[in-house]
This record gives sequence, C-alpha cells and structure tokens, in this order.
Amino acid sequence: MLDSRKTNIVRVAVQGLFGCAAVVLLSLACFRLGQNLATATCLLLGIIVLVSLWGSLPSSAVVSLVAVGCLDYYFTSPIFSLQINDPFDSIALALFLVTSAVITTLVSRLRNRTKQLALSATQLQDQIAEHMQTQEFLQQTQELARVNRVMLMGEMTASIAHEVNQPLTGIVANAGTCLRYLAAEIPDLEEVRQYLGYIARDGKRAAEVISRIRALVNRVPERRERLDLNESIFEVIALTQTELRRNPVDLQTNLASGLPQIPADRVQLQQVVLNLIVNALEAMNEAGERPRTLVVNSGTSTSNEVFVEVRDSGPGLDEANLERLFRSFYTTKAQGMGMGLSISRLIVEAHGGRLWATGNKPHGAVFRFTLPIQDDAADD
Amino acid sequence: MTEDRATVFVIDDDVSVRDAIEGVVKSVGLRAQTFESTQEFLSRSPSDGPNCLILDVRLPGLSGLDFQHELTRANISIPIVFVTGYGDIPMTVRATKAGAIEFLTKPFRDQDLLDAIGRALETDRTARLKRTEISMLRQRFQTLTVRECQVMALVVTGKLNREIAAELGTVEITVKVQRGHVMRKMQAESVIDLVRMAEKLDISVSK
Repeated sequence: MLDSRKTNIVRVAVQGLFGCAAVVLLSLACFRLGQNLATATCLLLGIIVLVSLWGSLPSSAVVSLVAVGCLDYYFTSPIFSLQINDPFDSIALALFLVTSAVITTLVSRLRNRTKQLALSATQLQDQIAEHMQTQEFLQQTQELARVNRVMLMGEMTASIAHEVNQPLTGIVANAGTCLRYLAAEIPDLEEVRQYLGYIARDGKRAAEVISRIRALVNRVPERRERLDLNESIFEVIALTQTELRRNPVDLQTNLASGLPQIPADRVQLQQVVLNLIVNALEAMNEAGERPRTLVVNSGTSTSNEVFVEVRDSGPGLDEANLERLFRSFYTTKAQGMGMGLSISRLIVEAHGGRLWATGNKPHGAVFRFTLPIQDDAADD
Repeated sequence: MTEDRATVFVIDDDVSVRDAIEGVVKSVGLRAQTFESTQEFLSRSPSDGPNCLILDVRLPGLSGLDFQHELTRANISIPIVFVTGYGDIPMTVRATKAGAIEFLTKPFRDQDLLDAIGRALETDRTARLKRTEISMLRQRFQTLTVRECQVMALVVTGKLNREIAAELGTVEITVKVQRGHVMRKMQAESVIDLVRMAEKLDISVSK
C-alpha cells in the first residue's frame, strides 16, 4: 500500500520533470527560430494535452505553470524577464492558463471515467461467475436432497415392503379362493362376491401405500404453503410406526397447541423431521441396555419463531465436534453417507431457520431447529 | 371325517391376511377361527376335533416364534404353520426344530397353504389318537391290583411264570391266575400286545 503510493509520487514527479523540460526546450527553440507568442502558445498547449493524457493532474498543473512562465520570459516584453508591460499579454497568458486548466481537468476526468468503467466491467464479470456458481450449487443441493430422500426411503424399505406385501398376500390367496368356489359344480356366487370384494379392498390398500411413498420420493418442486407444524410431525411419526414397533422405544410427544401456521415446504420439512427421528432411533440402537426414550417437542421460542426438538437417550455427541456433524460426508455411522444432517440444515436455512445440536441430560443428544413465522424468504 | 370336523386357527394382526387365510380354509370345507392377537387366541373357548394353528411370525409384542415356545412350555400341543413376510434361514430352522409343520413366505400359493394345513391336521389327528389310546390304557391299568401291576411289569420283561413266582415269593399257579386277570383287564390279545401297551404306558422294568 505504502509502496504503491511511493511509486505513484515518483511517477508524477518524473512526468512533471519531463513535461517541464519539453516546455522549456520548445519555448527556447521557438524563440531562437523567431516565432511569435501565438505559435509558441499553440505548441505548448499541445504538450500540455499530451502530459495530461499520459500523466496525472498534478504533473500537468505544474507543466502548465512552467509553460506560462516560459511564455512570459521569452515572448512578452520586456523579454528575458517575468514582468509584463502590455495588458493584452497579461490577458493572453491568463487565457492560456485557463485553457490549459480546462484541458487538464477534462482529460483527467475522462481518464477517471474510463478507469471506473473498466473496474465495473471486471466486477460485473465476477458477479456473473459467482451467480453461476450459486446456481450450480443450488442444483447440486436439490439433487442431493432428492438422493437423501431416496436414501431415507431405502432405510425404511423393509417396513414398506412389509406394508405392500400384506395386501398382496391377501389378493393372491383370495383369488385362489374365488377360483376354487367357481370350480364347484354349483358355484357359490355369494362367496365369490365376498372374496372379490376383499381383493378390491386389498388392492386399494396397496395402491395407497405406494402413493404415499411416491409423494416422498418424487422430484417435487419446492412449494411453500402455510402448514400446521404439529400435523406434519404426526404424519412423520406415523411413517415410522413399523420401525418403532420393531425396535420399541418410549415415544413422548409434547407438541404445543395453538402454534401459528408457518410458511414451509411440507415434504422438505417432513424430510428433516424424519431424518432427525431416524438418526435418534439409530443412535439408541447403539446405546445398549439404557431405557430408550424418544421425545419430540414443538413450541414457540420467540415471538416470531417456532421450534421442533428431537431428543434421544442414545450415546450422545462429542461436544467438541458438534459442528462437524453438519458437514457433508461426515458420519459416525457404519452405513451412513453423512449427508442427512447437512441436507437437513440446508433445508432449514432455506426456510430462514437454524438447526443445531446439543447434549441431552443425562444421556443422548438434542437436535433442534427453528423456523420463522413470517415468510422472509418468500420473495426469492 | 364328518364327525371330526377340523378347525384351523389363524393368528395375524393384519386384516387382509386374516380374511384371506380364512377364505382359503373355508373354501375347502374346513372351519376357520381368526384372532388378532395371541391373547385373544388363548382366551378362546375349547373346541373338539383336530385343529392346527396358522401363525404370523411378526406380531406386535410377543413374536410368533416366541409364542410357539410358550405354547410348548405350557404343554399345549398344536401343529403350527408359520407365515412370514421375510423368512431367513435361522428363523426357519428355529421354528422347524421346535416342531413347526411348514414355514410359508408371503405371498404364498394357496395350494401350498392347503397342503401345509392338510399335513398339520393329519399330525394332530395322529397325536389325538395316540393321546386317547394312552388315556384308555391308563384307565384299564388303573383297574389292576398292586400285585397284578407287579406281575404285569415282570411279564413284559419276558420272564416265565415260574421265575415271576420265585421273585414275588409265591407259587406258579397263583401267578398264572393273576396273569390271566391282567390280560383280561388290559384287553391284551397276546403277550406282545401287552408289551406294546406297557411301552405306551411307560412302565419301567424296575417297578
């Protein structure tokens, strides 16, 4: 910083010196060749223009003053003195000074403008590059969010396969029953009707399970609607029922009543809650003999913020590494990819909220996220 | 077959599967009784005739395999056909070792289910026959006097009347008469018949 200022001063001084030397030499040459004041003035103005184009404002100012001195010294009577006898000469010199000042200012203003333009052009290029990066990142994030949804579904596949297999078992067996009744000499159509009814019922049930899954896996565009937070949480808990039945835990829900509706994307939000619950269940599977307690809380934390909290009684978190949990590809699980929490945080932050972890007492972990009640992010 | 109408019990917490199995069973003229839980099954009113149990492995609370174990411990003998959503080999081995008739994976072919039910009912019929026979023999055995019991125990070891008399400190003719009583009371046609009965009654030689 200091160095660049020094070199700048040196450059201005050198430019000034060269300019002054050129002015003095040209004046001397004109004088020797017997030229008059007008010719000398024109030539000197040319030099001043050149100095202002290449040099800077101070150097051209100095050169202008030296030029006035030279004109006064060589071309106004009395010659070889800085005195002026003729009032017209004074006016001519004054005009010369004004003209060179105007030229200098104009040129330097032009140079400043050019510099600014160049600067804003580079800035614009930077901004465009940045924007493109953000765009790419957003696309990646969306893709990751979808991958995560699919992964979560993979984790729940065993339960879902069971849900679909049950009605299928019914359909296959009922079809056999109908065929057997129809094969009789006098078919009992009343029975056939009953079991065909069961087939229809079971088929519908299988279709419902599949449409529920599709809603989760599909590449659904983000849709903000005002939604009931507790209702969304209950839906997620219902999805984890089979999992909960297989690994029983003491599930406690303290969902505050009368929460205001919040603007959010239902599927994304449920993905976050599902993620936190699945994490909690997995953590407690590692906890051994301790009582397995899963607590899901909701409420208002400040006047314009609601919160959701998932507490488990698992082995807990390493307090020193709390923030690392939220980094991509960081995992403590043998079969995890380390994407769940980082995507959850992205989703919560996209909704204008925050997601963080703390320790639970006496054991386990607490994951808590907040969401604003007012829709700040609605415009983008 | 008409007087011993078989009943098939079904325990499954899923209504689709319950209704379907009931339908398959009824369509071949058997009686079916369905239950949502093991508790409901245990509190049913007792029924005559051969029966068997179709049991879901994955039940809320106690699993099907655990329930099988519990029935064995409570000395309730009923042939079991397991149905399951996913059957791994250890699970199948465990169930079969504990006496399961069949292990069907959902969705199963209804003919497979009917075959398994047929085998289960046959097993139960045989077991029932054996049980009634034994209780009949036991009733007959109870009519024997103490001395007759002693004689029977010695006869079935292949001893001659003379040897039995010597062992019991009596005369051969008395043993002969008592032996005649034993054969008549036990309704045995031959000594070999009597030996078979003794085996079923588990009368040891030392007695």
